[in-house]
Amino acid sequence: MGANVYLESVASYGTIGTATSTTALTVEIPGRSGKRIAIRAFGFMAGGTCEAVQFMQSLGKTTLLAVAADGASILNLTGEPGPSGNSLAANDFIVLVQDDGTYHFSEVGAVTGLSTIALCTVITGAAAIGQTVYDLGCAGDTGHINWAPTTVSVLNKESIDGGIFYGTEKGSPMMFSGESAATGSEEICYITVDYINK
Amino acid sequence: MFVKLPFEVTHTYENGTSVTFPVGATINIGKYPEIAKRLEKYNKKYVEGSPQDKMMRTSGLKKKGTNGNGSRLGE
Repeated sequence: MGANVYLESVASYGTIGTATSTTALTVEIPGRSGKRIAIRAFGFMAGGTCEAVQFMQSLGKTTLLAVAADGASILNLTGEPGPSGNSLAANDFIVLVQDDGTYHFSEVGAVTGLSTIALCTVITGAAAIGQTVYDLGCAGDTGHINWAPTTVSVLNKESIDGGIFYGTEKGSPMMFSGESAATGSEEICYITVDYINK
Repeated sequence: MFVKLPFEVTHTYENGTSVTFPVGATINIGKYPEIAKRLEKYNKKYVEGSPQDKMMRTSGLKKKGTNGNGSRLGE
């Protein structure tokens, strides 16, 4: 990147909620075809305990080997999305690009082979053979951007024109994840995204 | 300036919050001057090489004991 970087579009995402030891507070940041995610600003707050939050990046990608109908809960993939040594498994997050261009996020319920990837959330639109499937892995995987606050009940915020950090490639999605070991810890976050052309 | 990091690095803010960027993360280096300094050192050591290496590359001279492409003679 460098010269000739243009802002294509903007978006803002956010959530207010309570993360628990079993349910992470997440914000899905869908990719956009031909554009790269630039995280321009964000804020989050640790509640009862200080625990790290992650900006989960795409760790790899693959494609659909068979058509997935609207409402399908099983995906058939052409190959392991990667990375090497980190096979797709239950509790990983994957993102399917549906035929209408929307990004469908789902946790993986079970993997009984690449032809039978069971989703926790059924897809909301049809997806043809060859549509892209991104692997975000799980929050603890290597490859994600990890923020560790030291003070509770303080809004940790960052912002800079042009973006603080960026998605792995054009079209690639991201996901914000905050999970708390202590039930009841609250985390509040907002995320402002610039979609850029590089 | 946006760069793709060739190494993992942790930055700590004044309030103590820290961020760890993994290998391959693309960041705005202008926001992290200390990472920029480390990157400069990294590039000098692993990408550009020493001043002698640079001179060898541009002049076509062979480094003593090597076959010219960096590996030792006989390798």
